[in-house]
Amino acid sequence: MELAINQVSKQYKGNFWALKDFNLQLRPGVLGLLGENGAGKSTLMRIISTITDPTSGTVQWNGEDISKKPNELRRVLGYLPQDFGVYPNLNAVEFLEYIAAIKGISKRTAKKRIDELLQLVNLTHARKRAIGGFSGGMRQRVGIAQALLNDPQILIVDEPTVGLDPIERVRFRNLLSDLSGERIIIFSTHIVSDVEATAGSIAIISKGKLMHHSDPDALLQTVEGKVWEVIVSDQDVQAMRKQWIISGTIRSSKGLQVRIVSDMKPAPDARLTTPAMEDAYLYCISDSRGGSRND
Amino acid sequence: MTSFRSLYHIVRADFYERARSYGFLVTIVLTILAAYFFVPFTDAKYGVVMINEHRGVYNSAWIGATVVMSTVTILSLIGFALVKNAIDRDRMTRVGQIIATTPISKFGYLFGKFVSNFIVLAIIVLIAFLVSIAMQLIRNEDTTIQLLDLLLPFVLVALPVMALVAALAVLFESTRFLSGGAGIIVYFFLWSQVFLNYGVTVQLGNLALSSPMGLEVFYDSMIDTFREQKNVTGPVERADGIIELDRPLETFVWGGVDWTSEIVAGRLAWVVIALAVVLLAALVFRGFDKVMTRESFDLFSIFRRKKKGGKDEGWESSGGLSAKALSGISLQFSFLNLLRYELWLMLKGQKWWWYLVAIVFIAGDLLLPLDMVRSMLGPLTWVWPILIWSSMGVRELRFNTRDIVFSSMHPLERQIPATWCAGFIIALLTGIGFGLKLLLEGDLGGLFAWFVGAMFIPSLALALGIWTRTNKTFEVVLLVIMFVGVMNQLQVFDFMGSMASSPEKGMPFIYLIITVVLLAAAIIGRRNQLQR
Repeated sequence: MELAINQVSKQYKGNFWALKDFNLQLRPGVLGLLGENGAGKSTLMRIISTITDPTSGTVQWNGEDISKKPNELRRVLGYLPQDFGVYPNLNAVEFLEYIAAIKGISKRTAKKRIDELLQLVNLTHARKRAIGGFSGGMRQRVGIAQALLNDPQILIVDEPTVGLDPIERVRFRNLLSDLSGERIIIFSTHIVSDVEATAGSIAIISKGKLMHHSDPDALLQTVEGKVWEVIVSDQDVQAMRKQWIISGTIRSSKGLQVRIVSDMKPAPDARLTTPAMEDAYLYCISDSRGGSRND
Repeated sequence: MTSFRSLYHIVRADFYERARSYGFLVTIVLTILAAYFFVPFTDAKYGVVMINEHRGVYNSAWIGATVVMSTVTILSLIGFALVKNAIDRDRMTRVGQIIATTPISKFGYLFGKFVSNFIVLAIIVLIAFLVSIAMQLIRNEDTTIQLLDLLLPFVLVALPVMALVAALAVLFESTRFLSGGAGIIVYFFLWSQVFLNYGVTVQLGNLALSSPMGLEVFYDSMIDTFREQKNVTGPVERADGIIELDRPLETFVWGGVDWTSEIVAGRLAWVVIALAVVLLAALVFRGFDKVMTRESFDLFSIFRRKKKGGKDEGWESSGGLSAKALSGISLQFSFLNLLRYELWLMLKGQKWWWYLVAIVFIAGDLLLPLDMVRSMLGPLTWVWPILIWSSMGVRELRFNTRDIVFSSMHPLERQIPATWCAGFIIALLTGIGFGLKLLLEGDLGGLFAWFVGAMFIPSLALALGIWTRTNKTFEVVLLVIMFVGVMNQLQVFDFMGSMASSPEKGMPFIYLIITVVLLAAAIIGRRNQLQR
């Protein structure tokens, strides 16, 4: 089971490149695809999901080009789009039955599977309510259920935690962890903590380019000895923001404790601290954003 | 100042949105085509605007008047469908919720929508005006361009109608019942029964209030000139529409309408009426603070115990079930299963009275005399499910389920046939009364035409839905075909055997070919959507 993204580029109108020469090889496990808004994550997800064709390059599923043979991938694909709608007059069961019919799941199999999935996302109590009246979180859970209908070998979830409350987010992360194993899961998000909790490997994308791909430990290694903490006054922070990558601030009685990612010591009284995933992420994308590592 | 700025931005954003739409382009093309055909060749064997089998010499006055006639006829219907989406879009995109939190008043908001509607329609009128200049030069009968003769009909007749149409679109969108597909049907009846048929000018003191379309302003003047020039004292017959002739029409010289202050005031009165309509809209508009979703009717719900909804219990538990414990599945595609759900999706949400009326139509088709069924009840029977068919091909876009549906296996090969079959089955079921009647009467040619009609409707719906990305196109086109064509016994429109002579003249075969072409267009269109 292998998904290979080879030199994929996508150009939109106005000579805008959403992706540029993107390469990635994926095997079973959870890949966290991290990137800021507009980095090209959704475009990549849509290309892998066979909804959009790349302008150049190929995506191969077990050696087959998905542009030429999309149904080979669709057969085993579960996709939760970033922005999706539902048929408001249908209830949750009816909506899932309809999607199951489209996916080619027999009526009997679908019935059992839908019962289980509704239980899994805790919507059994609302199974007969019209989806039009669902809250954002409930609707998102219906989306998760539809993505899992065909027991997918490749599961693509695009910004799935948007609209979920903190408890639902934790539930979702646990679900992804449970689902990983013999399937490829691509989890696209701009929330670093979501990825940190679930992903076996992390790809960082910025301005359509792959900036980094490794396991979480290797990613953290990139900022080992480069994360500093220093206490400064409120006035100094604005100036520091222009000069350094600031990954966090905490207010204390002594002033503002600023967390800086930098190759060199940013201030005489700065001291090294343990790096976090957020630091590594900001460090990786700083080049493409025109930021400064001051190296 | 702030209000004016808000208004300006509402108008601007709305106008850009509309002017960049496919529908805008299509409406312009249709308007140009209509303008072209409303000014036939000098030796054409058909007439459009005729006074006792005469037409006016193609001078600026005649060309201006006839192009305005075609433009207002077309735009008062299609233009309405084009602009009746301004508030709905704000509702769908939830921009309305942002607008609701701004200080702009309901009237200010709706007035902005009215102005942007009007600008969209006025631009199409402007294009028609430019076409009229071109037509005068192309027809080459009197090439002296009298700018005022050409322009005034557009300014004084076309623009006031456009103001009224723009305001009615706002009113319909502001009214809950008329905001959906039902609004198009109600407006169509208003257009066909009032706008087209009512052509009388009423004298109110110093004001000559003409009909909304104002066509009689032209006809009255044309008839007066005709009588004078041809010394006719008896009754004069006027005709409009495309009418076949044995020989080209004779001509007379018409110098245009004498735009008296009374007539001008009568036309401008429609602009005032349009503003009053916007004011009325502001009174009935509920704003964006209420969720405008309605509980749908489930035909079989009366046989079930009502389940209490209960609020969301959150996702704090998974009922002891782990994702690892999910049972496996095997794929086994069943077309019938998908067809069943497509049918379900189409019919779900229909009210009980929808089914009742459909049954009444079926019974009427079976019990009433065949002539009446052919010419009246049969076509009406197939107008009834119009809102079900009009969602075909556009549903995935409208409800934003596109990514989910199109990333499933064989979306083209499986879903399109299933959707089409569901539409076809609805045509067969709702039209079964007419079909059985033809069978019982032994009219097998008519039965074949009926069967072709049942295939034609879902094909038209699917093709127009996919290509125009809105359900309104099909709604307007089917209503025009039915009420302007079929029910007026115009054979060229008879796709369903409403005229006994149609099978002999090969109409079912022609529509069978059109059906195949439409299906091919639908498949090509969907393939394009899939390969973005």
